[in-house]
Amino acid sequence: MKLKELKGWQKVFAFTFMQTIKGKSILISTLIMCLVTAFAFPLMQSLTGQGDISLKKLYIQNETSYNLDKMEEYVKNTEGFEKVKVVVSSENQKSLEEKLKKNEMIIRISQEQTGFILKHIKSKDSGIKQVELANISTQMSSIFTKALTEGLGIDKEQVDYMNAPIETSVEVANKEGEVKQEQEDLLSEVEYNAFFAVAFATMMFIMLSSEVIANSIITEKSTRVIEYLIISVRPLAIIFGKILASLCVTCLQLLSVGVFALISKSVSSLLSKGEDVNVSNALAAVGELKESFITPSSVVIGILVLLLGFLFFATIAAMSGASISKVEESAEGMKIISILLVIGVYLGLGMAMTAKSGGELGMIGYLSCLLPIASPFSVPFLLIVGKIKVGLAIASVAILLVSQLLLSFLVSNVYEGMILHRGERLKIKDILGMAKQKKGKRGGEVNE
Amino acid sequence: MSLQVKNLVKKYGDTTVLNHLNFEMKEPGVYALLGTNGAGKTTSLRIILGMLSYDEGEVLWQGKPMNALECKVGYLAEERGLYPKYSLMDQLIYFAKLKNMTKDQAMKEIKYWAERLEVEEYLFPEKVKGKKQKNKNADQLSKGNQQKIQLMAALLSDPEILVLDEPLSGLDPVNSDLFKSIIREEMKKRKYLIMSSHQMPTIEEFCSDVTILKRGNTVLQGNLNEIKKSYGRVNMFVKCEEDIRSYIDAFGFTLVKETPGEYQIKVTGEEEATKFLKKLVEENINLIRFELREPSLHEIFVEKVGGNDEA
Repeated sequence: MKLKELKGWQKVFAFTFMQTIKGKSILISTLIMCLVTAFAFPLMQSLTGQGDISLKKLYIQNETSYNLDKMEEYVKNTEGFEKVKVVVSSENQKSLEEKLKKNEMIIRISQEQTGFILKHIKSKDSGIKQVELANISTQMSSIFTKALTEGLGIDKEQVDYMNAPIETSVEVANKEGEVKQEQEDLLSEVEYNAFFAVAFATMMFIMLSSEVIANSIITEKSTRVIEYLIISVRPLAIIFGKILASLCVTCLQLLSVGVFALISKSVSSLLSKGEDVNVSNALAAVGELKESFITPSSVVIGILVLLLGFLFFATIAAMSGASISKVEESAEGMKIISILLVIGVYLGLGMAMTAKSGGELGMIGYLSCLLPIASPFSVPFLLIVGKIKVGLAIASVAILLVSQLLLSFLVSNVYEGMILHRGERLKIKDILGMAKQKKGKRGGEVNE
Repeated sequence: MSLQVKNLVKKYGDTTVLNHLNFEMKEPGVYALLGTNGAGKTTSLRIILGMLSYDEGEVLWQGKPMNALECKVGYLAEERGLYPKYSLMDQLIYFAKLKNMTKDQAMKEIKYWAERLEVEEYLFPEKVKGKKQKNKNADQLSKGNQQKIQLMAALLSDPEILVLDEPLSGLDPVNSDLFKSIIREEMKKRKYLIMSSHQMPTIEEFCSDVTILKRGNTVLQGNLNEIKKSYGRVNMFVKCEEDIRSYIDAFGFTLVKETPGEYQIKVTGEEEATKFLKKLVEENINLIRFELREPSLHEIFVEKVGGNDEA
């Protein structure tokens, strides 16, 4: 493999990029993704009942023997409840219920032997949605607790003291009597959920790019355009140009989705008058990141692993595309890349599950960090959240680099034969057979 | 300037698909590579174009190893290839850019060839109600028009070497004549053309030198006129009203083909043919047509590669 074999990749890149983004399928899929994203936040807001609440008037009926006078004040001071008219009522239950109008509610607090009951009563046509009711209920419980403790004469300091976090640890004693502290889980619940989101997003990114590359090569092969191309540029330049083009197209798609997500979030925020949307645990994890782990080196290595992983899968996609001769067989051609991606992601998920229930990375964890099909899903995330050492990440980069070089070497040996092959889909053993064949010389090469 | 192909060998595993192919084009002109399907023609063309690697031999252009990426080469493949869903203009500009042309140069050439090949309406559609129309995609064109676009792509960079693999297949007579006129123009421009075709009359029309391949081996090579001369005038065609089969048998000639009143005969030499004619005249045979000629390329081809040669 020589660098001059890449000559002309820029022209392939420019053409592939422009034609791909002009393509109806890309435009439509991007538009659909953007629209879904655009509606995601308002929809989430509507489903979770966040934003303006429809409750206008709230009656509080205290049937306990405790002083809950502060409840009225606390409700009015609660975010989102500022405009709710609060009435502390001692009226007869039935007559109060009969008075209930639209957007009105009664909170009836009673006391039983087992504890307190906060009964929420609304009229049939109250207009208060179930999700909003759940939100009101949560808020009321907390307001009630606060008012009750104050009513009981417990001051803030005492409350804080009672609510102080309690840390637990487990120590394990062995037969020799040595006591070792049991390790904390490597991944917290939030990190675990965030890993899921990141791994699937990475998989989607790689899958989309791989499809663009494979389809582009299948089209050129099935239409015989490839014969015109390879009299002007070498096959490696074609692959390289295509891989970069698909990377850019996918980045552009993700960027568009990201922009739409930001706009959607801002609009939702404006509509809900500054209230933020509860996005997901994945974003919550970002808040948990300790700044000390986000160093320039960890970011660079993380990006490097992602890019090398993308390149690795993209090269396999190019070979998969070149292994078939008919557009109808494209799904068959993509099978191998789908299998590898699924194995890679599942290894990552296996690592996450192990790390969530133990303090160590474990065998699956190391495999997911070192195997080229899995490391792009695991290493960047684990590095950024500080769960693996830089040494392991560098080892992952080295393995990815060596794998990529070996793959490129294989591609440079077999790609010529593959793209000119017509007929049945080439299987892995056929490709390896091609690689074993003695490579001849080509026009312009000096006789050996 | 010359194009030399020396001892070219191509193997796939243990199978030799091209066995020591040699030919030389000392002067510009049209060289024909002939053979049945699977004889190694397309493989030879692909090797010359640098698409395929080879195991032995060399291809020299102007005395130096030929690198298709560095010299001006045009190629019209046997199976036409265009992106079906991309605009024709975009594709042509792309092909031109791959040949190191600028966009302006490409546009100038595209305009010229669009006019010459009568495909302007697809590349430069007229405005409708003052609105600019999109140029067509390949899948909106007929097979013949796609072929024209392909030829255009091959000619855009004004190549010094033009490789045409079955250039006239699938064309109607009008477009076939159009392609032939362009080939003649390229010949006048002193280009080096290598042509592969199964249409023997076309080869005879354009090519001075030929190589006939059979399963990768060269079975006949040289100047077409000299090859024909070497066979001599042994093909006799007689049209008459009487049955002359007894005379043919008496002279020991081979009856190749017989239709009512027409006889195609292989003779042993010109002298015997003359004697045969005299005999027919003496016997008062009512002759309508008598022709003695060299074998056609078609006949030579069938003789050399005929039989069970289909791959």
